[in-house]
Amino acid sequence: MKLLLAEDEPDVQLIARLSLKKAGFTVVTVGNGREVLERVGAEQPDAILLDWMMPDMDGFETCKRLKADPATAHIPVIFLTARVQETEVARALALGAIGCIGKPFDALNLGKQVMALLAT
Amino acid sequence: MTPRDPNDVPAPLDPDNPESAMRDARQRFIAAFPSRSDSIGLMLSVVATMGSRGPVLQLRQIVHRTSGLAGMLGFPNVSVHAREIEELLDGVDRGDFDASRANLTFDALEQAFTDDLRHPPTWVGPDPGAGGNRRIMVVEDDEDQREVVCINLRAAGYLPVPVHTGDMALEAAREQKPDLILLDAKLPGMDGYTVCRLLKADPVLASTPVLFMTVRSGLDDRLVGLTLGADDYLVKPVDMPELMARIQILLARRVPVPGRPQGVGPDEAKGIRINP
Repeated sequence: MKLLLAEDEPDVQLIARLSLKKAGFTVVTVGNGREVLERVGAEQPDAILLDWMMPDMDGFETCKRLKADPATAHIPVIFLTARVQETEVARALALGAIGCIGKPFDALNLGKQVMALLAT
Repeated sequence: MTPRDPNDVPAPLDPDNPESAMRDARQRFIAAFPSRSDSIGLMLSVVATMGSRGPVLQLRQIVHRTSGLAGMLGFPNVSVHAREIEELLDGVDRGDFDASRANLTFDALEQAFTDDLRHPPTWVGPDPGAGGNRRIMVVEDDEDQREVVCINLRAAGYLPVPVHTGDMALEAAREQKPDLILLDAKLPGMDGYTVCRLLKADPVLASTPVLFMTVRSGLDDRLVGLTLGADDYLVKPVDMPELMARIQILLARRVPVPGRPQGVGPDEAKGIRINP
């Protein structure tokens, strides 16, 4: 199963990638939302993990555009976010995301959390 | 993946192991925290006076990153306070930024770092002191104080090297090549300030971190210590957990980061000529 992971903080990106890889995922990493839109066509990921706050294009805008494009609208989007307040989760779900994983996340169990969200 | 010999001792840095990457990132976080925290404090005071014309965006980014990294790397309380500051910053645009609360939160964040450092998560490993048998030279004339510090260092897994006088400190440092030097300011004979200056003037010893200890707490004194090249400064009576935390921070700064150039050593430098 291939994941496209967008996260701007290098350490978080590295650890999330290794953790997901260990959980059996194939992981493609990018540093911002714009790169997600550039790569999503060629990579055809099974799901997209988006950091909420990124430079250039944030997670929200990226999600909106992914969902607006018929070619990518079907790909499940999961937010990685420091703000797991109900209003923000509601906003994410309204944009078409399937869920949020709160940061600071338990990096060593990230794979399980992603799996659980994808299974629902 | 290359197959691993089962008898092989696991490498300290396994590029494919998330726990190893976390430990590495944690060391880097510890090393960078003092300057990160200084930046946050500085920007907070500018934002407090300048409001939205201050570096709000930069501050928001740095506290956001600090919060994310801290939480993941075993500094839960640092993460919480960084988040609080981030949320308080929402008040800048609304025109009701609570600067005094932000300052209190910032103080709490700095304290939280020391507290969290004392309670490392399980993935850090069984030896949270992480002394790794590194040598810490303790230059202190008072026998009781020297003993207390050495006992604590030993308990944390370091190898303390006790030295009684400033005159002996330089010689001992050259011989023992400690990883860090704890230096009392007031010593009979050659005082700590002179020792520090001479240590930092010695090309072999200059890179060894010096942690200065003094009973006096005036700012001038602190400046004198740091101007002479001390890497950090503690006021006596020394709080042992704080001492251990500062030692850990100073040593972490020296951990070589893989894949990044570490500067040119004297041997490599010989081969390089600029404008011959």
